[in-house]
Amino acid sequence: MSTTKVSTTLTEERVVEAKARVGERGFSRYLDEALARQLQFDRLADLEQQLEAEFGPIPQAVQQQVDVMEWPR
Amino acid sequence: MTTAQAGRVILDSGGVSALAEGNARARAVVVRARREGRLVVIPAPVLTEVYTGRHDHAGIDRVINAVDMLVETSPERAKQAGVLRTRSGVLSVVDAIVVAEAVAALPAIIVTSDPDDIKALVDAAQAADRVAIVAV
Repeated sequence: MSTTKVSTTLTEERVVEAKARVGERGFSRYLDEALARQLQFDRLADLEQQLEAEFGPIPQAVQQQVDVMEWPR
Repeated sequence: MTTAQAGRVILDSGGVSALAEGNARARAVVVRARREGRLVVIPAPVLTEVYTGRHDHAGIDRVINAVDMLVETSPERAKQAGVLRTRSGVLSVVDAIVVAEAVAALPAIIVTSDPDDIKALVDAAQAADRVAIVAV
């Protein structure tokens, strides 16, 4: 994928914290990965909405069944 | 990265098809994954099982487009899949790649319509405590 330079305004405290974590050089990548993650979550939310419109809501019992499954951390 | 720590949800062909067809359990998995910050990924070889050229693929495409990562198979991963396939006796190359991808980035949740074969492969990888299998 190609890259592009952007000028944007960010919360200073978050920028300081992020740079302390990943360094000056790792900051762009950190931000890009966060953006990719947010985009995926938004796309999945869109998919959920589309599936709900088409097939109806997920039965509560099914969601509960999945929510209590033991998933490794 | 928080998502790397949270782990990934991996869809095999049964998982992709189930989601495309509105399967409630598969949808509930996606809802939980999103809530917990887990990435939802599809290993690229899975596409060989869901694209047949015979049907309308709009539903499948919708799922694939919503997922951030189509994980390409590296030579290293393909070799690991070969070892797992031999150790487990499972014939499916694609299932072996799915499990090799899961094991490469633990913890992982695998959504599958073939839990027995996936379990045999996970056991062959000695990763049963870090991989959950959701049958759809």
